[in-house]
Amino acid sequence: MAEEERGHVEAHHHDHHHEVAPENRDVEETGHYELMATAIRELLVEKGVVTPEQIREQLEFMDSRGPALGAEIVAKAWTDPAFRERLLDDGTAAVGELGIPMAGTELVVVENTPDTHNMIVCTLCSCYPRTILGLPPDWYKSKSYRSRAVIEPRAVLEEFGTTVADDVTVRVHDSNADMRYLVLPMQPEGTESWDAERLAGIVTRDCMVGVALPDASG
Amino acid sequence: MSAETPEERRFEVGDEVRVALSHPPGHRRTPFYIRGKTGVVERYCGAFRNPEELAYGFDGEPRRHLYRVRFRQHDIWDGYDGPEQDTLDLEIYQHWLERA
Amino acid sequence: MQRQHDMGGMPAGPVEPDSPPTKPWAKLITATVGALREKKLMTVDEMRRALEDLPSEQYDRDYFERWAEALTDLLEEKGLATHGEIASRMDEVRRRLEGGT
Repeated sequence: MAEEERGHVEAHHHDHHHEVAPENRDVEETGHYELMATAIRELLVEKGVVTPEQIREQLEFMDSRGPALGAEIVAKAWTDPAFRERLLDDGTAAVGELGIPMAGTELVVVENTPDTHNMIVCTLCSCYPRTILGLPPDWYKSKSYRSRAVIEPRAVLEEFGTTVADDVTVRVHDSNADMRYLVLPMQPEGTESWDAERLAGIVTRDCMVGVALPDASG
Repeated sequence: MSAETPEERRFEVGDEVRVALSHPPGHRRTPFYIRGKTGVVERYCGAFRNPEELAYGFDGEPRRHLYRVRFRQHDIWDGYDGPEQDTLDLEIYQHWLERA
Repeated sequence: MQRQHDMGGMPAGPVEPDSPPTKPWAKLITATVGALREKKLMTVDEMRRALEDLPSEQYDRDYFERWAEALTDLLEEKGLATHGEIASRMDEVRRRLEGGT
């Protein structure tokens, strides 16, 4: 398994020229970090600090997380009022029912309503509900988003194509300590008869971070 | 989680609180922009090991009470370009808070 | 003083909404940090502190490049691997790749 991991990273190294050119990056620089990641893993395994299996488990868990899990949570909340209530009351326990761990943090689910639009940011680093949504997108980790989401949230929302009316409260959540946040969007009109699976299909990652709204028109 | 008793809890939901206007060096989870600002406790989050200690390899005990505090955007930023009712929530440890 | 990582409210350009997939080496760094945390050899708080304390030319790099730099600093601090060991192992890995073995 260790060899597979190494093979994976090394194979990537050979592809590198194609991938990096459009980003206008120094090829050698990124190659530098590929070497670093491999070197660290090899050293820590040789020293017995971590085992290849422990690294593999982490990689597998990472690959098993993604916005589909969050969409399932949202769709269940839309179709199961008792679950929705539990989710808003104690997010950690409610997603635990679905077998989703919070890994030492607590989940707070914030609900969009006709009066309030919620939006999540972490200005200090990039805290994100990774066990639900997977790794955060680049924009969530960017200086632009981290700096501006708190001071001009409506302008940032516009950049995502989301306009919030002036009589609706924009509530920004700076995820700066031990809580992680998930936005429960409003279920779009006209989807009342949809089943949970179909509903999950319109819940995107960006909806659950609060920069977009579910679109049922497609 | 440790069984060590946390400090005494000082605030309740609805209390008006001010964030300390202080800029100590080191790892802090209270963003610069919120220091010195006044808001209202929105929820009590629980007691957590102190990240300011954990960051340097200490055990973070005793645990610190953590509150979710809601601020009016217009109270945070001079010239906030949005409606009066917009708000911002963030988590503040008790040792950063005083009664407003 | 407002530190480099504490950027809420700072002026910055428009948000670029596209996000390329995470590269395998970046996942490997993330997994390595995860395994070290799982074994209680480091905390997420120490990782954040190491990130915040990076020189600005390193902090301003790509997110995972920044993580790799902070991780190497923490490994040295904790006596798990030195910068020298990592650098010479990187040379070795490079030679292995170039030699095709």
